[in-house]
Amino acid sequence: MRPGLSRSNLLALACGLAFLYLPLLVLVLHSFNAGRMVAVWGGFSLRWYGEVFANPALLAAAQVSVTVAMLSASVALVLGTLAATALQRLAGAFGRTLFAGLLFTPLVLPEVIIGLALLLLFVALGIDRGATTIVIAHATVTTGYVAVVVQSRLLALDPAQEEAAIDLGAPPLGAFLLVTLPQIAPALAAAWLLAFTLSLDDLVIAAFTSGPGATTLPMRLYGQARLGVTPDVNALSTLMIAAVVGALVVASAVEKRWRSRAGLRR
Amino acid sequence: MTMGLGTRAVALPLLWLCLFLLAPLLLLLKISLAEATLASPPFTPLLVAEGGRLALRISAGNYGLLFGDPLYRGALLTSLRLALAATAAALAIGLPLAYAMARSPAPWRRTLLLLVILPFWTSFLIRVYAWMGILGDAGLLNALLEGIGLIQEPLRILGTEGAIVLGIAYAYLPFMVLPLYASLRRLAPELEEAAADLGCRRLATFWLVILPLARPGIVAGALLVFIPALGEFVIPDLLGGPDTFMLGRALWDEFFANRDWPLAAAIAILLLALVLAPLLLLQRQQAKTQLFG
Amino acid sequence: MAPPLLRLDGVSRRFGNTRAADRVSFTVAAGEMFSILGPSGCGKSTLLRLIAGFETPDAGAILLNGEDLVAVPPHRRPVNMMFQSYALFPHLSVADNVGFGLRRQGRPAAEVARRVGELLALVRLEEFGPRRVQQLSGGERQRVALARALARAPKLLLLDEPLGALDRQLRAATQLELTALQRSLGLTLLVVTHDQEEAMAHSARLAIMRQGRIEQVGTPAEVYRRPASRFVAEFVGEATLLTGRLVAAAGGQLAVAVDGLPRPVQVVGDAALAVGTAVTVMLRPEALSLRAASADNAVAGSVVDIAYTGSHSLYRVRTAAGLVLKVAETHGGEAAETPVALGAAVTVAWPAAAGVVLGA
Repeated sequence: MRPGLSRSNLLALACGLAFLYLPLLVLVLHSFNAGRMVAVWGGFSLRWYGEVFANPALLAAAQVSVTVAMLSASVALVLGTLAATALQRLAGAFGRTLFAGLLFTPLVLPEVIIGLALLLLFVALGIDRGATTIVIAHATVTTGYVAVVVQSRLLALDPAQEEAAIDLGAPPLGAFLLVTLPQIAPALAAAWLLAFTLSLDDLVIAAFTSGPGATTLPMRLYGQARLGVTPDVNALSTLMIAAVVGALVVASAVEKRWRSRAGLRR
Repeated sequence: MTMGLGTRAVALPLLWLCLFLLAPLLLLLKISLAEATLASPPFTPLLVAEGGRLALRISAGNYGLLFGDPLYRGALLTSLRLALAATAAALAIGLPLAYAMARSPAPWRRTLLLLVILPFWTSFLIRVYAWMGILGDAGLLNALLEGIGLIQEPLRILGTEGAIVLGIAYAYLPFMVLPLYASLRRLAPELEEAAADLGCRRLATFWLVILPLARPGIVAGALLVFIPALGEFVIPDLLGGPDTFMLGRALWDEFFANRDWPLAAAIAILLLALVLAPLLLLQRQQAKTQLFG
Repeated sequence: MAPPLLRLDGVSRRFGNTRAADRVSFTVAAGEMFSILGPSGCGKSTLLRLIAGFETPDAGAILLNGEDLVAVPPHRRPVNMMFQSYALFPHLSVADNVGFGLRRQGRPAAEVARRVGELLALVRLEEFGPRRVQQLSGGERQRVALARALARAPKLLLLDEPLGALDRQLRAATQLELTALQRSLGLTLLVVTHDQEEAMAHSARLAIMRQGRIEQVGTPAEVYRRPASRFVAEFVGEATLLTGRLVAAAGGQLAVAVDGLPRPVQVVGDAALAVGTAVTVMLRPEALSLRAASADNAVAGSVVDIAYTGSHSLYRVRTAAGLVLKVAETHGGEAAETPVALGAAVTVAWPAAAGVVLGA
């Protein structure tokens, strides 16, 4: 019934979205700039992409980052799913609040605090710092994010479904695995992807908890960015943006297909 | 029966969080009360054996330094000031955007939400870095301003506090927009019409109806920007100048450059306290909102 | 009749391909209670929003006391609206809600407080001023919304489904209060509703709306007795509609051949209609009888359904050919002594004057 947006609302949308996307657009365009100057267009070129792929240190860092992100996301997926399931079922209000507080603290804590605290722990326990410690740190932080995503899907489910399964003879764990798990599968995929992205993106916590030999891509990128704007960093950034956008497109396509197959509506 | 499953499910994450979250935070508190030494690890133990007896050695010296030394006091004030400014900027940009999104026709809304969330999925570091190319002395903005003849000399933007505020507002804008959008969506358009019907111009409607009713969203969004901004390290480091000293930088420097772990820990604890206070406020607000929702 | 307070003249508004208002014209007299009745989605709420100023007509004029409102922004129009959802401000107290419009007029605080007190007394919510809107029941909210809309003493009060959110028992009482208030304050009310009983019972006049168009304007009795179309006949009250062809017309006495009835239906009607025209004969159930000894029309059938409503019963009688006639019988008297049972063979009879001929 209500007509479209007023002119001022359209203006707000245009300005807001421009603010969000123009900087990224500039960065992407500049990565194809043959010259070094940001403000001067030196012609179209892919030479900076060539330099990225010719840089063994960058490639090694990328490999570390992806490995760490995959491992930590997987650990966080298990922990976060368990935590979300527990949150939904724990009866005692006090214990539930404490657990939730612990679980969601990393979502709001400044990264420097967690990074420093974990580093002190690793030192105190005498654990050698490296890729493993980054995985532990990232899994700890992203568990809460996984729990949020999974919990929202769990809340949308009818609790009577599991009871129906139990009523039909399934043990409680079987009811969860057979009835609930298949229905939260897309949320699990989304949660894993979120944890993966957060890990891939993290600089501060990784900088605190990594050791010699385990340099992640953001750490490498940060080291270069501190020195100023260079087109090869732009090329690397563009590649990373493209990877994220590509992953999101694939994820949403998969989700859509899953939804239509399951005959579910939003 | 289902409770049993819940109790079993909680065990593993609880154990993990106690070991890798609670314990480190307690350790942080402990070390913040120690003193720095040149040993390895570079801090004094809290418990020392003295003549066959254990003695507790607690030093409040780090905290005294934080509040007494003008350098650290300045870092605290700068952090608070810039975090506040960035929150205000994010609100100023986010509110019209969130409002327009909430009032968009239904088929647009999903896409618009996606567009606001999408930058959050791209690397934080890259989003900050992107501004370096725009704000630099030879950056796009200066070139543009010179091109239209507004300035002759390049304006110094990168390296100023303004650039930090802009960068923080930009990086955390989705966190501001999403809760704002959620609370504005709940605000029925009839309320605005009722206000107009009772004699309000658009501005009066905004002040008297929209703003008060969007308050839960404003508070939540403001906290979601303010809290990480307070401890932000990357943005001040990349967009700010060497003379802007904030808590995140102080912590980083004490730890990595000066190897004063106890002082770094004390800064972390101070940050933690600063963050906790508004969070408890948010919880109260949420409880209140639920009461009247 | 006095010059109308409100006049709509060819008002049209379309959203995409739907015509929410299609050349709508009618007038409302000062002090009148006028209803717009129609099924949901017919455009009646849009009409109200056009008058309040939340929509702008594509064409036509909306005149209040002869002055065109179209260019006047909603906050300056001397009309107020009571929203279907009430649209009470949840962050304000009851008193602040009621006083909202007065404060916008820049009235001094003391005067606002006094007026708010009067208005709350008017809707019998004297004690409720400091309360929060969330703490009120549906009926109380409705009264707050009414008091708020009355605060600025609007020349015309618009009510969008004013009783729609209330449960059945509360409706009747609230409707009576509203009518009493309207009479005592001399208010002009324009009410939008989909509830035909509500509209019929209390409006001085009503307009029946369908797909953006006004089908008929008249008093409840006019609309009930002489519906302008099949749609109106069916929407307002119960009716049996017999479609057929005019076979004879003499001196206002018409005969209509109806499929499934052995003899033509005798009906009083417009003598100007040509023989052979397709017509519809409408019969109100209370004009039909199951017991008449002799009448102009008589049709045999069996009772297939009896709906008991307290004061009367509504029978559905099916003829051998499958036509269903609705007959209402008041309880008491003859009906109480010899009740008609389900499945009974009966003869439905009615006088020629009971039928109304509708165009097609």
